[in-house]
Amino acid sequence: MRIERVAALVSAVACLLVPAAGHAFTVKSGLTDGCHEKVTVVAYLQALPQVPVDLDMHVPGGAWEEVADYLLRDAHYEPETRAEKFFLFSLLTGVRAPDNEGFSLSNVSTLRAIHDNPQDQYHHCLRAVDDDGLTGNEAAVAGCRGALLEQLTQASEQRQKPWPEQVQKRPFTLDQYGTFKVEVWSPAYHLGRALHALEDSFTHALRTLNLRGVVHVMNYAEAIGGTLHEERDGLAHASATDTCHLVTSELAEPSNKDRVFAAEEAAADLLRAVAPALAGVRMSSPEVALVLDKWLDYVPGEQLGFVEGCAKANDYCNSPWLELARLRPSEPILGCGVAPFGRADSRAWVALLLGMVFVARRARRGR
Amino acid sequence: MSGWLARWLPLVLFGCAPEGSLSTLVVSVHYPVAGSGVGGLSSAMQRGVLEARVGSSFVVEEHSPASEQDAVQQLAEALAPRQGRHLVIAGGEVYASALDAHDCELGGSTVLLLDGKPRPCDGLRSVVLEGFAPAFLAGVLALSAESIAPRRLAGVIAAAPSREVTRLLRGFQAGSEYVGGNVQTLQLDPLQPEAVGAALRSLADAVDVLLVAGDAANSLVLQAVREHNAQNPEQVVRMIGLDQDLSVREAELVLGSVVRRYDAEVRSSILAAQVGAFAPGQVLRGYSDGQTELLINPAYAEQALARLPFDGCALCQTLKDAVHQAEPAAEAAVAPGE
Repeated sequence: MRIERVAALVSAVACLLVPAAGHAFTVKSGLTDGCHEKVTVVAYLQALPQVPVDLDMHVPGGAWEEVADYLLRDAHYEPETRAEKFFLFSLLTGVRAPDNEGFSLSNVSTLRAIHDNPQDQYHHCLRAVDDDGLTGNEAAVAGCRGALLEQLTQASEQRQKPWPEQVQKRPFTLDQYGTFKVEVWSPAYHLGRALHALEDSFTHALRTLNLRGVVHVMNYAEAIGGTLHEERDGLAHASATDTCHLVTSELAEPSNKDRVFAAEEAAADLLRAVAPALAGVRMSSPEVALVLDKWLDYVPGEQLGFVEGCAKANDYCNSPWLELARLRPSEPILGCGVAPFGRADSRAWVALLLGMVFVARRARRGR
Repeated sequence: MSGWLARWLPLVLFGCAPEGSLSTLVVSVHYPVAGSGVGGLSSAMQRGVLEARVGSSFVVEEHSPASEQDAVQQLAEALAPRQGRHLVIAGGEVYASALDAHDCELGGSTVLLLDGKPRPCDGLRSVVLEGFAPAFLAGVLALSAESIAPRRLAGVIAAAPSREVTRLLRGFQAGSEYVGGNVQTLQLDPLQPEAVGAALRSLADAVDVLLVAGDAANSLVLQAVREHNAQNPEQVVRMIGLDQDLSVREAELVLGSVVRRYDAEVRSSILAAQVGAFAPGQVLRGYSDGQTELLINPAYAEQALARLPFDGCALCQTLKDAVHQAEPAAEAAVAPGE
């Protein structure tokens, strides 16, 4: 009886642990692939000739260098200078922040509090709970643009401060180590947060054929809250669109290449647009507006020949991206009714089974 | 914690599954004869390799031939039978004839050829991204409005002569002529910035719009045009970019950009080769499937295209007809090896 209770507890913890991590292009942890980081590094490489990495900036000492090695290891990219390394580290720390706010991905209560906060949804380009129906799409896109612009404005304002004040400490979590504060270059950190929203708009929305315009925004808060009615609240967030699979021969893990490539191109455009601001010029709104109009514009169904709008009844204007978006939808956390997950998630389930066996063995020895 | 769990849990979480029996992929990159890092195709190849490395592991060997003879020799060495898995990526027409000479003996390597069309072989993928149509449209965009181009004169800045750049320039010239304009070409050596600056200022004085056909020159040209426009506000020069959307760097100056995605081809082929899913064949892609396009700065779309029956269509029939009429003649004018 005691064994059963402990096993049930372990099972419940693992049950909570698994779906919470699959919220956006994944960030790197012990359990998930560093998809946001990869998209951002590729975008950086695309924009590199324009991004001012040779800034004569104040580069502090501290823990950040070792953490940067951890983040950049998979990218196989060696920054040429400490300044470039600090810039990239700060950018990636910002990109990761909205998904874990510096807390471990396995800290379920923190994740849930953050992700369930309706005001937080726009930082992931998702619908807020009040964004209902067709008008909810437009509101969500506007909210996403607003959240993104807020971060860019902060980046620009931080850049106007004296050098020492531009370096700030932010929380960072390594799953096997815990949370600690690291130094970041705040303009790049806030730019990273803006990139997170832009990148998420490719995983959390159905887009036009050329992937430039948004026709429908998905819903996470109500999907995991168990109150989602698709006709009213929109399509449930799906973990299948969060992956970074570029080439795959596994039917269960379809390629997400088109979205990933488009997200990289958009992120590179944004990096180019804000490059002068990173160099110290006050942020130029025409270039940023152009990037947002190019990649984050709401396209109503009427423009695509659907006078009724893009809705469930017409498969969201016959979206070619719908099949993937319906694969592995997010479901209520407390119901533990998760669909099968990808490789990283199945590791968690195997870990759960091992944990249960471990508990059973200990309990047997203790009897 | 029990030793049992300590032994097994890390294996489960961090790589219990064996990577398989595939050996490390070796990617042999053969740049166009003009050299690595100069011109659109070379830069795209470099970018594609760098992008593929993000999140994946493979060995890279790079070859920048000084002459056609070097190029043929280096390719022959790469195609000699070797142990392990090899992907050869080559860019430019010279490699097409070299591959034909190999008569499909690829030494067990898979081969990706960019901007060339050799005979089909098992293990060989050739990709040509057709840039004539978007370049033609760029010519139309550049010179169709009197308010933007009162002199009906466009300038082209080319970093290095190559067949793929030449085809683009023919398209741009044909489009410019279609709307009654003319084109002047300036070839730049970006390694001599002082000479470049003077030449650019001189060209900017003479033309209404500049096409920058070589990404190495983008920043230099942008700077020269900014200076020219600051000194001559009554005679503003605008720009058209190549292979990246320049308007996100200079929204008020840039009319649009011709974009080709050779880097995506390189990256996709490397990733496919890594998982044994490399797809041989002859691929011709272009404007119709989004692999090349003209990105138009929305701020100029109405103004620049007002004279034409554009009305929101991606490539309307009048322009389609014009492109089809102009392309064969322009192709014929591109000398072999150009």
